[in-house]
Amino acid sequence: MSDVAIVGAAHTAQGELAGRSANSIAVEAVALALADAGLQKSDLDGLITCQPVGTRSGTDWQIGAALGIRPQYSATLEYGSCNFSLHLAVMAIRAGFASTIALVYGANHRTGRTDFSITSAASMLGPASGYLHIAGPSAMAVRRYQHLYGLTEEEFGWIAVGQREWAQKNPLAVFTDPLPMSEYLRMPYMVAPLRRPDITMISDGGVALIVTSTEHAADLGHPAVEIVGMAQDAPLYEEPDALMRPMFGRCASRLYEQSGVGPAEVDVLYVQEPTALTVLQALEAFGFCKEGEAGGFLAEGHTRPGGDLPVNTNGGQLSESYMWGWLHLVEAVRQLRGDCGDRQVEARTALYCSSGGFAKCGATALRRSG
Amino acid sequence: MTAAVSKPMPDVDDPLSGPFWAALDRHEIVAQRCRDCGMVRWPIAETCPRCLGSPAVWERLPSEGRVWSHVEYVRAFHPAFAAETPYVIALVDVVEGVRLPGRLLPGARPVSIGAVVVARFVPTQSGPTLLAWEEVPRKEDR
Repeated sequence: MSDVAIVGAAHTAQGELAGRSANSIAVEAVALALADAGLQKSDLDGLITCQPVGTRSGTDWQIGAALGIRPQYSATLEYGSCNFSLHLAVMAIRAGFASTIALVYGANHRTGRTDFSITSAASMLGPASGYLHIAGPSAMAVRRYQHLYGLTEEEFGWIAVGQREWAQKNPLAVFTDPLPMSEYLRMPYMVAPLRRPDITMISDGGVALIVTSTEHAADLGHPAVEIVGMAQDAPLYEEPDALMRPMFGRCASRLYEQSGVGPAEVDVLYVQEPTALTVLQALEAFGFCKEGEAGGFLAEGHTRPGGDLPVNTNGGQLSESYMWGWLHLVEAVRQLRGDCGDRQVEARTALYCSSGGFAKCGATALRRSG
Repeated sequence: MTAAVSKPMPDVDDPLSGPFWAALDRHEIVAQRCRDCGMVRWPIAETCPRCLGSPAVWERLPSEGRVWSHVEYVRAFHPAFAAETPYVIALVDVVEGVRLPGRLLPGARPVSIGAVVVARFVPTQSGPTLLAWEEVPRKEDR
């Protein structure tokens, strides 16, 4: 039993929304999430926005004004994935700052042609040499992992291939062409050992969630999805081998200890994935398989349709759409509500893990009420 | 013909990081060592992330290291590098806490993790000298 729940979850159209501003997309997403929750904007007393990376859009000042609201509490995070926004909302509700909060992200990165090549200004040594984009450091970690544990390209490929199989069951997904393993292995590298299907797409679109007290949630139309555990880790000062994301393991321990949820209770897993690497890392860190064994686990099919640990049933950022992880939470909510049609899985408890590069991560355990 | 896109390049006149780029011009790798606690400071920073002290002296580091990992850019993620693909980037451990990226110059065979590489200092048209790495030839290659 938990005191805070997600009662609304919605998204706008995804892909290319030419001519739309990020903020207008965000406003549309909030309206859709309110409708999903059966609430009016006058029911909101809190707003937490997320700025699209590399832009000046998406502040609470801008979105709150555009929504025409005067909430008791508002804030903006400039990092995504929705986990951090969700955690902040839960804290704000528990602290009495607000009782019903809209969380929102809207972006026009695709048609706006945002430059994602330089991810850190800490040292120009990499960018000046052509070591660019999150795909570069991610590929470094995959190669290192191959060296340490003998991961094969086919084993790793099951992440992208499996997510495409899920995406083919999702009407929202941008990439739905068949991607059998034979085809995956024929795809050229972008940054070896990563191929195109291993790397996130970039898209326009918006997502919003409505979070409120469980008590209030009981009066609304949908089964509420309760937050039963949440944890973060923030190794802001780069730690040794940060690319292997040791932070995931610390976050998992904290989450499991605090919530009483363990890997055996998790029915469906979501991992926000700038590249397929994070899925590989999360499978081990969150205890679904042992260190070094994620490749074999993937090859056994656990994460694909029909498997016993479905992962990223929306298709994720590799196949559904890139909403900086926000759509993963929408999908988790819909799966727990039982609203997923062809791709519906048996699930009472979901886990969502996400990261901000290699220096911040969060995880949330969610459970259907009742 | 479209205008040439320039590469992302460091500001070699930046008072904080300038000495690092000046050292590469002299074919040396340097890093700050904290005057208060003695820690080698990387990445370059105004204050020490261990003791929070400020003063530091620039100290020469070894010009060789071991490959922690390496990747091959088949597709450029920035138009200024499109003509140079494919190219390999290696992350090289020079001393504890200092892992430096750089181009890996083509060698006799594909590089492997753990290989010893030596620094090469590559001039650029736009000014700064960049760091690259080259595998130390093994006996059988000589």
